Amino acid sequence: MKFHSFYYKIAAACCSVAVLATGCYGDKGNYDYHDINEVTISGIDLENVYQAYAYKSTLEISPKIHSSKDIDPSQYEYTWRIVPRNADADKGATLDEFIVSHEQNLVYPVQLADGDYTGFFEVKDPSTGVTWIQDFYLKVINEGAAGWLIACDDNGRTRLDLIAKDDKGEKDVLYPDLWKNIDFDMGKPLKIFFVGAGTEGFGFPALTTDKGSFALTGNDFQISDDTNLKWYFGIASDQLQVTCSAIETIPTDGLPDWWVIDEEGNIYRTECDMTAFFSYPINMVEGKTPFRAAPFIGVSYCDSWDNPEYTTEDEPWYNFAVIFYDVDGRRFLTKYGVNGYPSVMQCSGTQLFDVETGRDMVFIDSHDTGNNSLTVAVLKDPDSPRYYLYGMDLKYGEVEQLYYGEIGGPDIANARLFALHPTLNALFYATDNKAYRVSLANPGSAREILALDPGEEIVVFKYHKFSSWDAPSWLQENTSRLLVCSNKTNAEPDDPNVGTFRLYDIPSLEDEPITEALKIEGLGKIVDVTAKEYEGL
Amino acid sequence: MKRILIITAMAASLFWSGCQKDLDTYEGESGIYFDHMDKAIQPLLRADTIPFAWGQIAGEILEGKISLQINLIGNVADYDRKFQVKVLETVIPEELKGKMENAVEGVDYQPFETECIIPANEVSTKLDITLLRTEVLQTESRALTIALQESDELKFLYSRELVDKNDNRRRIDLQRVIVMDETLPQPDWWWGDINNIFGDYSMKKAITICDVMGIDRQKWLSDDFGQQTSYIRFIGQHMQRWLDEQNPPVYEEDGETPMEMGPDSQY
Repeated sequence: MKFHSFYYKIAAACCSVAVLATGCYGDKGNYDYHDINEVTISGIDLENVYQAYAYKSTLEISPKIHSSKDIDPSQYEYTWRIVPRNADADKGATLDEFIVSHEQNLVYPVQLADGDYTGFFEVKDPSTGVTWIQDFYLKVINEGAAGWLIACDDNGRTRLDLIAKDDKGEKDVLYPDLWKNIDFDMGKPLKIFFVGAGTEGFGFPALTTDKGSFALTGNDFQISDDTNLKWYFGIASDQLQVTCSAIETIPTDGLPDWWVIDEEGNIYRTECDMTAFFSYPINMVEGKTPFRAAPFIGVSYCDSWDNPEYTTEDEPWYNFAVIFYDVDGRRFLTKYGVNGYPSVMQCSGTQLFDVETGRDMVFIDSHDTGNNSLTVAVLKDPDSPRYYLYGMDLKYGEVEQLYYGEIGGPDIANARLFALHPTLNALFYATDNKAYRVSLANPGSAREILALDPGEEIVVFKYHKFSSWDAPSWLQENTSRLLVCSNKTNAEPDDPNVGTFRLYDIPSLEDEPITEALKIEGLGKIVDVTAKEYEGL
Repeated sequence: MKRILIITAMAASLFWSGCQKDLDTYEGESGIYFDHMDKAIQPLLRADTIPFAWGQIAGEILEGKISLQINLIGNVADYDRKFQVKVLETVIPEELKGKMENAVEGVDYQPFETECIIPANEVSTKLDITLLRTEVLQTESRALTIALQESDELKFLYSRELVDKNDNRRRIDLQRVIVMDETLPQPDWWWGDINNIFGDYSMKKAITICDVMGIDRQKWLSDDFGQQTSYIRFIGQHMQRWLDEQNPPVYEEDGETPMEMGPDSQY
C-alpha cells in the first residue's frame, strides 16, 4: 500500500511540472502575418435556372474573377462540372466524369440527357491549393438530334462523335465522345450506318464493331445488349456483324426492303418497318450452289413513278434487281422479288463485260435520282492493283450494261476508296491523301481534285444516301456533297482528336475546282460516318 | 297557423317513426346455384355449358384447372353447411355422337371431392376440377356434367331457365357441362398472302407451328401477331425445314397428307 502511495505522489508532481512548463512556453506573438488572397466570382446567373436543348444549345458562361490580391486570372486553374441531380456515388458516379471544361469561360455544346443538373464552377489557386466554388442550376431538354454520326476508334473502344446544327440552324457544332461515360463495352468500330426509309417512323443508326452490331436508340444514342441487331434475326451468330446494309426504297411489293450481309457473307432480307425480322440467308445460286457474298449490295434508288422504262403496263410496280457479288465464283448475281434465291446476272443490250468477272469487288453504289437507275461497281484484279469500272442500268426485270473499262489515272494502283456521284456520271477514287475524278464514259484517265496535307490519311470517302425525306433539310442538302474524312498521321501519340470531317461541293464540269462546304476538326480517330436522319424504334 | 304547425309536427313524427322501423329481412330457406356472372366464365358460358379449349394452351401442358363457383341464396349461417355434387352422364346431342363422349374419371379428369361446403359467414364456395389432356381430344371432345344435389339446408331456390320452342323449361344453373377439346380457331389473319407462307389452314398445322416455335396460343390468335409478316415468313421457312427433318413425317389430320408450308416457304 505504501508502494502505491509513493508512486501516486511522483505522478502528481510530474503532472504539476508539465502544466507549469507549458505555461512558460506561452505565445510571444512574433508570427509573420500575410493577407490571404480572396476570390469572388460574378457573372454566373444565380437567380435563374439555365436552360439548354441537348445537341442544339451551347451553354456559354463567362464568369468574372475578382481577386483581393492582384493575381492575373490566367494564374488560376478552372474546372466546370455539370452533375445530374440524381447522381449517386454509390452507383459508381465519380466527380471527374462530370467535368465538361477546364477553361475560365464555359463554351459547352450540351450533350446531356433530359433532366435537372447542378453546375459547379471551381477556381483553384495553385500556389496555395485554395479552391473557391460557385454553383448554379441547369435544366436540359433532350429532344434527340439529327446530324452526322462519326464512329471513331479510341484504342479499341468506340468513340461516337456528333455534328449537328445549333438551335438557330446556322452553325455546325461538334459534340465529341457522346459515350464518354457509358458503361458498356461495345468494342472497336468497323462500320456505322442508318436503317430506315421513313415508313411508320421506323429508323435508327446502327454500329458494327468487332463485338457485334447494335442499334443506337433513343435521344441519347443508347447502346447495350438489348439493342443488339441479332434480336432481329431468326438465325444468326451471337457475334453477328453486319458488314453491309442497304434499304431498297422502291421494291416490288411496295414495302421498303432491308438487305444485309453479315461477316460470313450471308445475305438476309426483311421489310424495313416496325415488324422487321430476318429469316434464313439466301446464299444459294438459284437454290443450288452455296456462295459467300462480298460486303456490297447494289440497289436502285430510282423513284420516278412515271418512267415507263421501270414498269410495265400490266405490272405498274417496280421490279428492280438487287445486285450481289459472289466472292467464290467472282461473278455478279441478281435477285428479283421477295422470295427465292439470287441468280447469275442476265444482261440485256450490248454485252460490254462478262458477268463472270474473275475479279474482286471493292465498291458498288447507285445514282440517287428520280430518273435513272445507274449502278456502278469497281472490281480489282486479284493479282495486280488494276481496277475496272462496271456500269449497269437497273430496269424493269432486267439489267442493261452501260459502261465498262479499266480505270486509269494518277496513282490508281494506290486507290483505296471509291465514290459515285449521286447524279453526275462521275466516279472518284482516293489514295492516302488525294482524290481523283473519273468520267464513267472515259474511265481511262482521271483528274486530281483534292490534295490534303501529307500528314492526313483519307479514311472515309463517299456520298451519303439519305433513305427518307424525314431527315431535316439542312442534312439532306448534303446529298450531292462528297464526304471526306481524314485522320492525322503525324499527331502526338496522346492526341485523341486527330479526325477531320469535310464536305465538298463537286462541280458539274470536270475542270472546275471543287469547293469545301464544311470542315470540322477535332474529331476522334475516324472509322466511318453516317447521318442520323430521324429517330424511330 | 298554430294548427298547421301541430299537424306538421305530427306528420313529421310519423315519417320519423317510419324511418326508424327495422327492415324486413329474408327469413326462410337457403339455396345453392352455379354462378353465371363470373367475369372469367361468363363470356364462355352457353346456357349450362362451359368450353375448355385445350387448343389455346401450350401443347406441353397436360393438366388444366377449372374452378366453378357455387353461390348461396338465402341467409348466411354461422356454421359450415355441406352439400353434394354429382357427376351425371352427359346427354350427347344426336348430331355430336361419334365426336363427343362422356369424360372418364382418371382419364379425362382427376377424381375430386364431391362434398362441398359453404363456409360459415360466406356466400359462395368453389369447386376446383383438374382436367386432363389426352391425345383423343385432337379429334373428339369430352363432356363432364356436374350437378348440384339438393339438401335439407340448401335447396334449389334459384336458377335461370331456358325455354325451348315447345315451351319446355330447363333450370340451367343447377348443373354445369364442361366440354373440352383441342379446338384452336383459325386466326383471322390466316388468309391471302399467309396461305403462300403457311399453306392451307389446318388446326393440326396451327398447333404444330405453335408447339415447335414456342408461340403462346393466345398471342397467336391476336391481330398483332398477324401483322408480323417478316416473322411469319421466318416461321414458314423454319417450319418447312423442321418438317423436312421429321422421320416419320408429320401428317395432316387425315393421316395421309404430309404436312407442308406454303410455296413461299419452300426455300
